[in-house]
Amino acid sequence: VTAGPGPAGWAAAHGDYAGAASRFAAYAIDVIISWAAFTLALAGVSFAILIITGRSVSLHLGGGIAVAVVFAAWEFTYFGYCWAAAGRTPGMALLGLRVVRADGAAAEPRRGVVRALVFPLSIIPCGLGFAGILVQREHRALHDLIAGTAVVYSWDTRAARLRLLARMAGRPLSGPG
Amino acid sequence: VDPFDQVRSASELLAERAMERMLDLVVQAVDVNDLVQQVDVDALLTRVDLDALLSRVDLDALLTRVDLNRLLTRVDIDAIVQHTDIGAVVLLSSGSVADKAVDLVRGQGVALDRLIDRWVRRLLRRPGPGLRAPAPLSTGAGT
Repeated sequence: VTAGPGPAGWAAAHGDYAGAASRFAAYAIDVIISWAAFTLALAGVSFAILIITGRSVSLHLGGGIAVAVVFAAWEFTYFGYCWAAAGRTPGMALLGLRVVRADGAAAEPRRGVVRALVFPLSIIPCGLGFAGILVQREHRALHDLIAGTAVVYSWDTRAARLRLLARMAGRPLSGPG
Repeated sequence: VDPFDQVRSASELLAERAMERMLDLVVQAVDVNDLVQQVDVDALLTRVDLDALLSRVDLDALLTRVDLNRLLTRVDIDAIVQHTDIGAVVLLSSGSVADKAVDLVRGQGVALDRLIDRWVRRLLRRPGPGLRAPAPLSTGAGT
């Protein structure tokens, strides 16, 4: 069913290139999730060492090069696996974003892996690699350009549109009580 | 040929032609619209047994002749939702707190993205609305 013209709202943005605010919010959520998971894992490992050896070992971020290397590997796994398997991370899923090929087709898993590998290149030069999200016509960051990807809005258009229209109708049914 | 038969066929032909002509004249003279207006449709319908009539209709055969997709493209979903309680039903059935929160976050995100994009384009003096979507998704592949 193609709905006629009307109050399309944000739901109509499905498929458009995603902008800086949504992408930054999604990235912030992913950083929090991955950091929390890693911290929990470190606490678990510390507890396991204490139980097994009886020695108290305090593992935490910034507690040595080994932990930093494991953390970097974990971040790569988190982002790489999510992009390769689903084209989106949990943060991107919440914001309704998806990684696609530059031409808009579904991205192959290897592109997700490449994207995760080259992602630090956008961070290293003082974050200048992300400037493309603001100024590039297709809102593609440096790692997008290298991996041949883009980020678009992606959600269940029909359900979102129906919910939006339902709210605009503004006539909730009165409950029995 | 029997002369009696000849006379009979000629007279039959004559009568047939006369009847056709007479019918034409009557049809032309009668104002059908006026006639229809005099018909009491309500009274007529009370005498019609719709159940019996519908039981004779082969609905399956009828539906196979209907192009439902074409029919539904003519439906104005927006108007239906706005003028009925369907909107409230959709909200009650699928509008959980989580859905509302997600919609809110996404809506705010899109609005902020568009605002930033407008500022940047103004700053860079870039004309036009900018690129909206890569080709395959712009044709509406829902996820």
